[in-house]
Amino acid sequence: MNFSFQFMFEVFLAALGAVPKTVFLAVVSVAIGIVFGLPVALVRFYRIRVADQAFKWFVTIIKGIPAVLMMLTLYLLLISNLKLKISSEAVTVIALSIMSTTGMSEIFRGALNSIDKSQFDAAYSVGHTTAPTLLRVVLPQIVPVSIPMLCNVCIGMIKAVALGSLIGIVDIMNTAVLKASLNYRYLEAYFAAAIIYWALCILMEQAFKAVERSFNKRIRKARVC
Amino acid sequence: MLDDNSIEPTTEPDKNSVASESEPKSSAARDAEPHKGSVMLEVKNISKSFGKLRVLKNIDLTVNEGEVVAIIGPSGSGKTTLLRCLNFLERADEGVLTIDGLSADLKKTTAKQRLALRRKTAMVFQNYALFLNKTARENVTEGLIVSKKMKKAEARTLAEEYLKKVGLTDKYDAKPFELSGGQQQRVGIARALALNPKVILFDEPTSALDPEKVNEILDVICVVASGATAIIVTHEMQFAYDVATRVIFMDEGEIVEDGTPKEVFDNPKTERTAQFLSRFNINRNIEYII
Repeated sequence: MNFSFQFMFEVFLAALGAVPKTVFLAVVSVAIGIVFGLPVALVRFYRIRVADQAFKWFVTIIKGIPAVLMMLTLYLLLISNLKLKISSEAVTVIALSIMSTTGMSEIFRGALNSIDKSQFDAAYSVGHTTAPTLLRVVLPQIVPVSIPMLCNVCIGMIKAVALGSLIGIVDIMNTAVLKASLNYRYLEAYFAAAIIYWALCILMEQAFKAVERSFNKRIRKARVC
Repeated sequence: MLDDNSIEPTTEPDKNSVASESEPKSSAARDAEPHKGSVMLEVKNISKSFGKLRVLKNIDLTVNEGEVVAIIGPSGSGKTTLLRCLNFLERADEGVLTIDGLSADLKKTTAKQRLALRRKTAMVFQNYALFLNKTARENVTEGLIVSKKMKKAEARTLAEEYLKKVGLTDKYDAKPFELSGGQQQRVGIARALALNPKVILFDEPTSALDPEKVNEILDVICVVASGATAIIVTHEMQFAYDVATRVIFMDEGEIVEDGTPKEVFDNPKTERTAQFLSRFNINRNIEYII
Protein backbone atom coordinates (compact mmCIF):
# COMPACT_ATOMS: atom_id res chain seq x y z
CA MET A 1 0.00 0.00 0.00
CA ASN A 2 1.27 3.36 -0.94
CA PHE A 3 0.04 5.82 1.67
CA SER A 4 2.23 8.68 2.83
CA PHE A 5 1.38 9.69 6.38
CA GLN A 6 3.99 12.38 6.11
CA PHE A 7 2.23 13.99 3.14
CA MET A 8 -1.10 13.67 4.87
CA PHE A 9 0.34 15.54 7.83
CA GLU A 10 1.71 18.23 5.51
CA VAL A 11 -1.68 18.70 3.92
CA PHE A 12 -3.31 18.67 7.36
CA LEU A 13 -1.12 21.56 8.52
CA ALA A 14 -1.70 23.50 5.33
CA ALA A 15 -5.47 22.99 5.46
CA LEU A 16 -5.59 24.03 9.12
CA GLY A 17 -4.71 27.51 7.89
CA ALA A 18 -7.98 27.58 5.96
CA VAL A 19 -10.11 26.70 8.98
CA PRO A 20 -10.79 30.33 9.96
CA LYS A 21 -11.99 31.12 6.44
CA THR A 22 -14.34 28.12 6.30
CA VAL A 23 -15.70 28.86 9.77
CA PHE A 24 -16.09 32.54 8.95
CA LEU A 25 -18.04 31.88 5.73
CA ALA A 26 -20.25 29.34 7.49
CA VAL A 27 -20.96 31.59 10.49
CA VAL A 28 -21.77 34.58 8.31
CA SER A 29 -24.16 32.44 6.24
CA VAL A 30 -25.90 31.13 9.37
CA ALA A 31 -26.10 34.62 10.89
CA ILE A 32 -27.74 35.98 7.74
CA GLY A 33 -29.99 32.94 7.76
CA ILE A 34 -31.12 33.77 11.31
CA VAL A 35 -31.68 37.44 10.53
CA PHE A 36 -33.89 36.67 7.52
CA GLY A 37 -35.27 33.35 8.72
CA LEU A 38 -36.94 34.75 11.84
CA PRO A 39 -39.13 37.29 9.99
CA VAL A 40 -40.07 34.61 7.45
CA ALA A 41 -41.05 32.29 10.30
CA LEU A 42 -43.08 35.03 12.03
CA VAL A 43 -44.93 35.92 8.84
CA ARG A 44 -45.81 32.29 8.31
CA PHE A 45 -46.69 31.76 11.98
CA TYR A 46 -49.12 34.66 11.97
CA ARG A 47 -50.32 33.72 8.46
CA ILE A 48 -49.96 37.25 7.17
CA ARG A 49 -51.78 37.45 3.87
CA VAL A 50 -49.90 37.15 0.56
CA ALA A 51 -46.47 37.21 2.25
CA ASP A 52 -47.29 33.91 3.93
CA GLN A 53 -48.06 32.26 0.58
CA ALA A 54 -45.04 33.86 -1.08
CA PHE A 55 -42.66 32.62 1.62
CA LYS A 56 -44.24 29.20 1.58
CA TRP A 57 -43.41 28.87 -2.12
CA PHE A 58 -39.97 30.38 -1.64
CA VAL A 59 -39.13 27.83 1.04
CA THR A 60 -40.48 24.94 -1.01
CA ILE A 61 -38.55 25.95 -4.11
CA ILE A 62 -35.24 26.57 -2.34
CA LYS A 63 -35.53 23.33 -0.38
CA GLY A 64 -35.64 21.42 -3.67
CA ILE A 65 -32.45 22.89 -5.10
CA PRO A 66 -29.11 21.20 -4.35
CA ALA A 67 -26.58 23.58 -2.79
CA VAL A 68 -24.04 22.84 -5.56
CA LEU A 69 -26.53 23.81 -8.20
CA MET A 70 -27.45 26.98 -6.34
CA MET A 71 -23.81 27.97 -6.03
CA LEU A 72 -22.83 27.28 -9.63
CA THR A 73 -25.95 28.97 -10.96
CA LEU A 74 -25.42 32.07 -8.83
CA TYR A 75 -21.77 32.18 -9.87
CA LEU A 76 -22.62 32.10 -13.56
CA LEU A 77 -25.52 34.49 -13.13
CA LEU A 78 -23.83 37.10 -10.93
CA ILE A 79 -20.24 37.03 -12.15
CA SER A 80 -20.33 35.76 -15.73
CA ASN A 81 -23.67 37.13 -16.88
CA LEU A 82 -24.35 40.24 -14.82
CA LYS A 83 -20.61 41.01 -14.58
CA LEU A 84 -20.86 41.99 -10.93
CA LYS A 85 -17.49 42.68 -9.34
CA ILE A 86 -17.84 40.35 -6.38
CA SER A 87 -15.57 37.61 -5.12
CA SER A 88 -16.26 33.89 -5.17
CA GLU A 89 -16.43 34.09 -1.39
CA ALA A 90 -19.32 36.54 -1.66
CA VAL A 91 -21.14 34.24 -4.07
CA THR A 92 -20.63 31.37 -1.63
CA VAL A 93 -22.07 33.39 1.24
CA ILE A 94 -25.06 34.51 -0.86
CA ALA A 95 -25.82 30.95 -1.93
CA LEU A 96 -25.44 29.49 1.54
CA SER A 97 -27.40 32.33 3.14
CA ILE A 98 -30.37 31.58 0.91
CA MET A 99 -30.13 27.92 1.89
CA SER A 100 -29.80 28.67 5.60
CA THR A 101 -32.61 31.26 5.56
CA THR A 102 -35.06 28.58 4.50
CA GLY A 103 -33.61 26.15 7.03
CA MET A 104 -33.73 28.62 9.91
CA SER A 105 -37.23 29.81 9.01
CA GLU A 106 -38.52 26.24 9.26
CA ILE A 107 -36.71 25.76 12.57
CA PHE A 108 -38.14 28.95 14.04
CA ARG A 109 -41.60 28.15 12.73
CA GLY A 110 -41.48 24.78 14.44
CA ALA A 111 -40.23 26.39 17.64
CA LEU A 112 -43.00 29.03 17.54
CA ASN A 113 -45.58 26.30 17.11
CA SER A 114 -44.15 24.48 20.11
CA ILE A 115 -44.84 27.42 22.45
CA ASP A 116 -48.03 26.88 24.43
CA LYS A 117 -50.82 29.22 23.32
CA SER A 118 -51.39 30.12 26.96
CA GLN A 119 -48.11 32.06 26.92
CA PHE A 120 -49.61 34.39 24.32
CA ASP A 121 -52.88 34.60 26.27
CA ALA A 122 -51.02 35.45 29.46
CA ALA A 123 -48.98 38.17 27.77
CA TYR A 124 -52.05 39.73 26.19
CA SER A 125 -53.92 39.48 29.49
CA VAL A 126 -51.34 41.65 31.28
CA GLY A 127 -51.76 44.28 28.57
CA HIS A 128 -48.93 43.42 26.19
CA THR A 129 -49.18 44.27 22.53
CA THR A 130 -47.70 41.89 19.95
CA ALA A 131 -44.17 43.32 20.04
CA PRO A 132 -43.46 42.88 23.78
CA THR A 133 -45.29 39.56 23.68
CA LEU A 134 -42.81 38.32 21.11
CA LEU A 135 -39.67 40.04 22.38
CA ARG A 136 -40.10 39.48 26.10
CA VAL A 137 -42.06 36.26 26.35
CA VAL A 138 -42.09 34.16 23.19
CA LEU A 139 -38.70 34.64 21.55
CA PRO A 140 -36.73 33.96 24.76
CA GLN A 141 -38.60 30.67 24.91
CA ILE A 142 -37.97 29.61 21.32
CA VAL A 143 -34.19 30.03 21.68
CA PRO A 144 -33.61 26.88 23.75
CA VAL A 145 -36.02 24.94 21.53
CA SER A 146 -34.11 26.01 18.40
CA ILE A 147 -30.57 25.34 19.60
CA PRO A 148 -30.26 21.62 18.73
CA MET A 149 -31.52 22.31 15.21
CA LEU A 150 -29.34 25.42 14.92
CA CYS A 151 -26.37 23.18 15.62
CA ASN A 152 -27.37 20.98 12.67
CA VAL A 153 -27.57 23.97 10.38
CA CYS A 154 -24.15 25.23 11.49
CA ILE A 155 -22.51 21.86 10.85
CA GLY A 156 -24.29 21.60 7.52
CA MET A 157 -23.01 25.01 6.52
CA ILE A 158 -19.39 24.22 7.44
CA LYS A 159 -19.57 21.22 5.17
CA ALA A 160 -21.43 23.16 2.48
CA VAL A 161 -18.67 25.77 2.31
CA ALA A 162 -16.57 22.99 0.73
CA LEU A 163 -18.80 23.30 -2.32
CA GLY A 164 -17.36 26.78 -2.76
CA SER A 165 -14.17 25.13 -3.92
CA LEU A 166 -16.01 24.45 -7.18
CA ILE A 167 -16.19 28.18 -7.84
CA GLY A 168 -12.66 28.83 -6.70
CA ILE A 169 -12.63 29.74 -3.01
CA VAL A 170 -9.64 28.37 -1.14
CA ASP A 171 -11.16 26.74 1.91
CA ILE A 172 -10.15 23.61 3.81
CA MET A 173 -11.19 21.34 0.95
CA ASN A 174 -9.55 23.34 -1.82
CA THR A 175 -6.30 23.80 0.12
CA ALA A 176 -6.02 20.05 0.44
CA VAL A 177 -6.89 19.42 -3.21
CA LEU A 178 -4.46 22.06 -4.45
CA LYS A 179 -1.66 20.48 -2.42
CA ALA A 180 -2.43 17.07 -3.86
CA SER A 181 -2.60 18.27 -7.44
CA LEU A 182 1.22 18.62 -7.34
CA ASN A 183 1.92 14.95 -6.66
CA TYR A 184 -1.45 13.27 -7.24
CA ARG A 185 -1.65 11.98 -3.65
CA TYR A 186 -5.36 12.81 -3.44
CA LEU A 187 -6.21 10.05 -0.97
CA GLU A 188 -3.89 11.50 1.68
CA ALA A 189 -5.24 14.97 1.03
CA TYR A 190 -8.84 13.82 1.37
CA PHE A 191 -8.06 12.04 4.62
CA ALA A 192 -6.41 15.17 6.01
CA ALA A 193 -9.42 17.28 5.07
CA ALA A 194 -11.80 14.71 6.53
CA ILE A 195 -10.01 14.76 9.87
CA ILE A 196 -10.27 18.55 10.05
CA TYR A 197 -13.98 18.60 9.19
CA TRP A 198 -14.63 15.84 11.65
CA ALA A 199 -12.81 17.69 14.46
CA LEU A 200 -14.58 20.94 13.61
CA CYS A 201 -17.99 19.31 13.78
CA ILE A 202 -17.27 17.63 17.09
CA LEU A 203 -16.09 20.93 18.55
CA MET A 204 -19.19 22.64 17.25
CA GLU A 205 -21.45 19.96 18.66
CA GLN A 206 -19.85 20.15 22.10
CA ALA A 207 -20.09 23.94 22.12
CA PHE A 208 -23.80 23.77 21.33
CA LYS A 209 -24.32 21.11 23.99
CA ALA A 210 -22.78 23.45 26.55
CA VAL A 211 -25.06 26.30 25.47
CA GLU A 212 -28.05 23.97 25.60
CA ARG A 213 -27.18 22.89 29.14
CA SER A 214 -26.90 26.45 30.36
CA PHE A 215 -30.30 27.23 28.85
CA ASN A 216 -31.83 24.17 30.43
CA LYS A 217 -30.73 25.47 33.79
CA ARG A 218 -32.31 28.87 33.23
CA ILE A 219 -35.43 28.00 31.27
CA ARG A 220 -37.13 24.71 31.56
CA LYS A 221 -40.53 23.92 30.24
CA ALA A 222 -42.82 23.48 33.18
CA ARG A 223 -45.41 20.90 32.37
CA VAL A 224 -48.71 21.92 33.84
CA CYS A 225 -51.81 19.87 34.53
CA MET B 1 -52.71 55.97 40.14
CA LEU B 2 -49.96 53.43 39.78
CA ASP B 3 -48.52 54.23 43.19
CA ASP B 4 -51.66 53.04 44.79
CA ASN B 5 -51.24 49.41 45.68
CA SER B 6 -54.45 48.92 47.50
CA ILE B 7 -57.43 47.24 46.00
CA GLU B 8 -59.90 48.70 48.44
CA PRO B 9 -62.93 49.99 46.62
CA THR B 10 -62.96 53.18 48.68
CA THR B 11 -59.96 54.49 46.75
CA GLU B 12 -61.54 53.88 43.38
CA PRO B 13 -63.62 56.97 42.62
CA ASP B 14 -60.89 59.63 42.54
CA LYS B 15 -58.69 57.31 40.52
CA ASN B 16 -61.43 56.93 37.98
CA SER B 17 -61.90 60.61 37.48
CA VAL B 18 -58.21 61.08 36.73
CA ALA B 19 -57.27 58.03 34.80
CA SER B 20 -60.13 56.53 32.90
CA GLU B 21 -61.23 57.49 29.46
CA SER B 22 -64.80 57.12 30.57
CA GLU B 23 -67.46 59.17 28.92
CA PRO B 24 -68.77 62.06 31.00
CA LYS B 25 -72.20 60.59 31.55
CA SER B 26 -71.07 57.44 33.30
CA SER B 27 -68.40 59.10 35.39
CA ALA B 28 -71.01 61.59 36.54
CA ALA B 29 -73.14 58.67 37.50
CA ARG B 30 -70.28 57.22 39.46
CA ASP B 31 -69.59 60.49 41.26
CA ALA B 32 -73.17 60.59 42.40
CA GLU B 33 -72.87 57.05 43.70
CA PRO B 34 -69.21 56.51 44.37
CA HIS B 35 -69.28 53.12 46.05
CA LYS B 36 -70.74 49.79 45.17
CA GLY B 37 -73.60 49.60 42.75
CA SER B 38 -72.41 51.52 39.71
CA VAL B 39 -72.06 49.52 36.52
CA MET B 40 -68.51 48.31 36.01
CA LEU B 41 -68.91 45.91 33.11
CA GLU B 42 -71.71 45.51 30.66
CA VAL B 43 -72.09 43.23 27.66
CA LYS B 44 -75.06 43.44 25.39
CA ASN B 45 -76.16 40.90 22.87
CA ILE B 46 -72.81 39.14 22.65
CA SER B 47 -72.58 36.23 20.21
CA LYS B 48 -69.78 33.94 19.23
CA SER B 49 -69.56 30.95 16.93
CA PHE B 50 -66.78 28.49 16.31
CA GLY B 51 -67.58 27.43 12.77
CA LYS B 52 -71.19 26.26 12.82
CA LEU B 53 -71.28 25.84 16.58
CA ARG B 54 -72.93 28.79 18.33
CA VAL B 55 -71.10 29.03 21.63
CA LEU B 56 -72.65 32.26 22.89
CA LYS B 57 -76.20 33.15 21.92
CA ASN B 58 -76.98 36.84 22.34
CA ILE B 59 -75.97 37.08 25.98
CA ASP B 60 -76.59 40.19 28.07
CA LEU B 61 -74.67 40.65 31.31
CA THR B 62 -74.22 43.57 33.66
CA VAL B 63 -71.75 43.46 36.53
CA ASN B 64 -71.74 46.19 39.15
CA GLU B 65 -68.71 47.51 40.93
CA GLY B 66 -67.73 45.31 43.87
CA GLU B 67 -69.74 42.33 42.70
CA VAL B 68 -68.20 38.87 42.73
CA VAL B 69 -70.00 36.95 40.02
CA ALA B 70 -69.61 33.19 39.80
CA ILE B 71 -70.45 31.62 36.45
CA ILE B 72 -71.34 27.96 36.76
CA GLY B 73 -72.61 25.41 34.30
CA PRO B 74 -71.73 22.22 32.48
CA SER B 75 -68.64 21.92 30.29
CA GLY B 76 -69.18 23.33 26.84
CA SER B 77 -71.83 25.76 27.98
CA GLY B 78 -69.73 28.76 26.90
CA LYS B 79 -68.60 30.00 30.32
CA THR B 80 -64.92 30.21 29.46
CA THR B 81 -65.61 31.58 25.99
CA LEU B 82 -67.73 34.35 27.50
CA LEU B 83 -64.92 35.21 29.90
CA ARG B 84 -62.31 35.19 27.13
CA CYS B 85 -64.48 37.42 24.97
CA LEU B 86 -64.48 40.00 27.76
CA ASN B 87 -60.73 40.57 27.40
CA PHE B 88 -60.52 39.79 23.67
CA LEU B 89 -58.52 36.59 23.98
CA GLU B 90 -61.45 35.37 21.93
CA ARG B 91 -63.08 37.72 19.42
CA ALA B 92 -66.84 37.84 19.73
CA ASP B 93 -68.84 38.01 16.49
CA GLU B 94 -71.15 40.75 17.67
CA GLY B 95 -72.25 42.63 20.74
CA VAL B 96 -71.35 45.74 22.68
CA LEU B 97 -68.87 45.63 25.54
CA THR B 98 -68.52 48.42 28.11
CA ILE B 99 -65.97 48.29 30.89
CA ASP B 100 -65.62 51.20 33.30
CA GLY B 101 -67.34 53.59 30.91
CA LEU B 102 -65.32 52.59 27.86
CA SER B 103 -67.43 51.02 25.12
CA ALA B 104 -66.75 49.13 21.93
CA ASP B 105 -68.89 47.50 19.29
CA LEU B 106 -67.45 44.00 19.19
CA LYS B 107 -68.18 43.63 15.48
CA LYS B 108 -65.65 46.29 14.51
CA THR B 109 -63.16 46.97 17.26
CA THR B 110 -59.81 48.55 16.53
CA ALA B 111 -56.60 47.19 18.02
CA LYS B 112 -56.42 50.33 20.15
CA GLN B 113 -59.91 49.79 21.58
CA ARG B 114 -59.18 46.16 22.32
CA LEU B 115 -55.98 47.07 24.13
CA ALA B 116 -57.63 49.84 26.17
CA LEU B 117 -60.46 47.56 27.24
CA ARG B 118 -58.17 44.64 27.91
CA ARG B 119 -55.98 46.81 30.12
CA LYS B 120 -58.96 47.39 32.38
CA THR B 121 -59.05 43.67 33.09
CA ALA B 122 -56.68 40.98 34.30
CA MET B 123 -57.04 37.24 34.06
CA VAL B 124 -56.17 34.23 36.17
CA PHE B 125 -55.86 31.11 34.03
CA GLN B 126 -56.86 27.52 34.54
CA ASN B 127 -53.36 26.23 33.71
CA TYR B 128 -51.69 29.17 35.52
CA ALA B 129 -50.02 30.31 32.26
CA LEU B 130 -47.04 31.86 34.02
CA PHE B 131 -44.31 33.20 31.77
CA LEU B 132 -42.03 30.16 31.79
CA ASN B 133 -38.87 32.15 31.14
CA LYS B 134 -39.42 34.49 34.07
CA THR B 135 -39.17 34.26 37.85
CA ALA B 136 -42.18 34.65 40.12
CA ARG B 137 -41.33 38.29 40.70
CA GLU B 138 -40.72 38.97 37.01
CA ASN B 139 -44.07 37.40 36.19
CA VAL B 140 -45.74 40.03 38.31
CA THR B 141 -43.58 42.98 37.21
CA GLU B 142 -43.89 42.14 33.49
CA GLY B 143 -47.24 43.84 32.98
CA LEU B 144 -46.39 46.68 35.35
CA ILE B 145 -43.19 47.58 33.53
CA VAL B 146 -44.41 47.13 29.98
CA SER B 147 -48.04 48.17 29.85
CA LYS B 148 -48.20 50.37 32.96
CA LYS B 149 -44.77 51.91 32.25
CA MET B 150 -43.77 51.60 35.88
CA LYS B 151 -40.15 52.03 37.01
CA LYS B 152 -38.38 48.70 37.54
CA ALA B 153 -37.54 49.23 41.21
CA GLU B 154 -41.06 50.39 41.94
CA ALA B 155 -42.54 47.39 40.13
CA ARG B 156 -40.28 45.02 42.08
CA THR B 157 -41.42 46.38 45.43
CA LEU B 158 -45.02 46.22 44.36
CA ALA B 159 -44.59 42.67 43.04
CA GLU B 160 -43.11 41.49 46.33
CA GLU B 161 -45.97 43.09 48.18
CA TYR B 162 -48.55 41.24 46.09
CA LEU B 163 -46.64 37.97 46.30
CA LYS B 164 -46.70 38.36 50.08
CA LYS B 165 -50.41 39.02 49.91
CA VAL B 166 -51.03 35.68 48.19
CA GLY B 167 -48.77 33.89 50.64
CA LEU B 168 -45.52 33.49 48.70
CA THR B 169 -42.78 35.13 50.70
CA ASP B 170 -39.65 33.13 49.93
CA LYS B 171 -40.09 32.25 46.28
CA TYR B 172 -39.51 35.57 44.56
CA ASP B 173 -36.69 34.24 42.38
CA ALA B 174 -38.15 30.83 41.63
CA LYS B 175 -38.95 29.94 38.02
CA PRO B 176 -42.37 28.42 37.32
CA PHE B 177 -40.91 24.92 36.95
CA GLU B 178 -39.58 25.18 40.50
CA LEU B 179 -43.02 25.91 41.91
CA SER B 180 -45.87 23.56 42.71
CA GLY B 181 -49.24 24.01 41.02
CA GLY B 182 -50.68 25.82 44.01
CA GLN B 183 -47.70 28.15 44.20
CA GLN B 184 -47.88 28.84 40.47
CA GLN B 185 -51.52 29.79 40.76
CA ARG B 186 -50.67 32.13 43.65
CA VAL B 187 -48.22 33.88 41.36
CA GLY B 188 -50.91 33.97 38.70
CA ILE B 189 -53.28 35.68 41.12
CA ALA B 190 -50.60 38.14 42.25
CA ARG B 191 -49.83 38.93 38.60
CA ALA B 192 -53.48 39.75 37.94
CA LEU B 193 -53.98 41.73 41.16
CA ALA B 194 -50.85 43.84 40.75
CA LEU B 195 -52.27 45.32 37.56
CA ASN B 196 -54.97 46.87 39.72
CA PRO B 197 -57.64 45.92 37.17
CA LYS B 198 -61.19 47.20 37.15
CA VAL B 199 -62.41 43.65 36.69
CA ILE B 200 -60.55 40.44 37.51
CA LEU B 201 -61.45 37.43 35.39
CA PHE B 202 -60.86 33.99 36.91
CA ASP B 203 -61.01 31.12 34.41
CA GLU B 204 -61.52 27.92 36.43
CA PRO B 205 -58.63 28.88 38.69
CA THR B 206 -58.63 25.63 40.64
CA SER B 207 -59.43 23.03 37.97
CA ALA B 208 -55.83 21.89 37.58
CA LEU B 209 -55.12 21.58 41.30
CA ASP B 210 -55.38 18.64 43.68
CA PRO B 211 -58.29 18.74 46.17
CA GLU B 212 -56.10 19.94 49.03
CA LYS B 213 -54.63 22.84 47.07
CA VAL B 214 -58.04 23.80 45.75
CA ASN B 215 -59.11 25.06 49.15
CA GLU B 216 -55.86 26.95 49.68
CA ILE B 217 -56.28 28.80 46.41
CA LEU B 218 -59.98 29.41 47.01
CA ASP B 219 -59.04 30.99 50.35
CA VAL B 220 -56.61 33.29 48.57
CA ILE B 221 -59.22 34.22 45.97
CA CYS B 222 -61.78 34.77 48.72
CA VAL B 223 -59.48 37.30 50.39
CA VAL B 224 -58.48 39.16 47.25
CA ALA B 225 -61.93 39.09 45.67
CA SER B 226 -63.60 40.90 48.53
CA GLY B 227 -63.94 44.50 47.48
CA ALA B 228 -62.79 43.88 43.92
CA THR B 229 -65.05 43.35 40.96
CA ALA B 230 -64.54 39.78 39.87
CA ILE B 231 -66.03 37.27 37.45
CA ILE B 232 -65.18 33.69 38.33
CA VAL B 233 -65.85 30.72 36.10
CA THR B 234 -65.81 27.78 38.47
CA HIS B 235 -66.85 24.23 39.09
CA GLU B 236 -66.49 24.71 42.84
CA MET B 237 -70.13 25.00 43.85
CA GLN B 238 -69.43 25.45 47.54
CA PHE B 239 -67.13 28.33 46.72
CA ALA B 240 -69.71 29.91 44.45
CA TYR B 241 -72.26 29.57 47.21
CA ASP B 242 -70.05 31.00 49.94
CA VAL B 243 -68.05 33.71 48.24
CA ALA B 244 -69.94 34.98 45.22
CA THR B 245 -72.40 37.81 45.62
CA ARG B 246 -74.15 36.62 42.49
CA VAL B 247 -74.35 33.33 40.66
CA ILE B 248 -75.00 32.86 36.96
CA PHE B 249 -75.89 29.47 35.53
CA MET B 250 -75.08 29.00 31.87
CA ASP B 251 -76.15 26.23 29.56
CA GLU B 252 -75.75 25.86 25.79
CA GLY B 253 -74.53 29.41 25.27
CA GLU B 254 -77.27 31.11 27.22
CA ILE B 255 -77.68 32.50 30.69
CA VAL B 256 -80.34 30.28 32.19
CA GLU B 257 -80.39 31.68 35.68
CA ASP B 258 -79.02 34.76 37.38
CA GLY B 259 -79.40 35.63 41.04
CA THR B 260 -77.91 35.56 44.51
CA PRO B 261 -76.29 32.28 45.54
CA LYS B 262 -79.23 31.59 47.81
CA GLU B 263 -81.77 32.14 45.04
CA VAL B 264 -79.93 30.02 42.48
CA PHE B 265 -78.85 27.17 44.75
CA ASP B 266 -81.86 26.99 47.05
CA ASN B 267 -84.71 27.91 44.73
CA PRO B 268 -83.63 27.35 41.17
CA LYS B 269 -86.25 28.75 38.81
CA THR B 270 -85.67 26.37 35.93
CA GLU B 271 -85.67 22.61 35.65
CA ARG B 272 -82.22 22.62 33.97
CA THR B 273 -80.58 24.48 36.85
CA ALA B 274 -82.17 22.23 39.44
CA GLN B 275 -81.02 19.19 37.49
CA PHE B 276 -77.43 20.49 37.27
CA LEU B 277 -77.26 21.47 40.92
CA SER B 278 -78.85 18.27 42.20
CA ARG B 279 -75.47 16.59 41.95
CA PHE B 280 -73.84 18.89 44.47
CA ASN B 281 -74.25 18.87 48.20
CA ILE B 282 -73.97 22.45 49.35
CA ASN B 283 -73.14 22.97 52.97
CA ARG B 284 -75.59 25.65 53.99
CA ASN B 285 -74.18 27.30 57.04
CA ILE B 286 -76.43 28.71 59.74
CA GLU B 287 -75.44 32.24 58.89
CA TYR B 288 -76.76 31.79 55.39
CA ILE B 289 -80.09 30.44 56.54
CA ILE B 290 -80.73 33.37 58.86
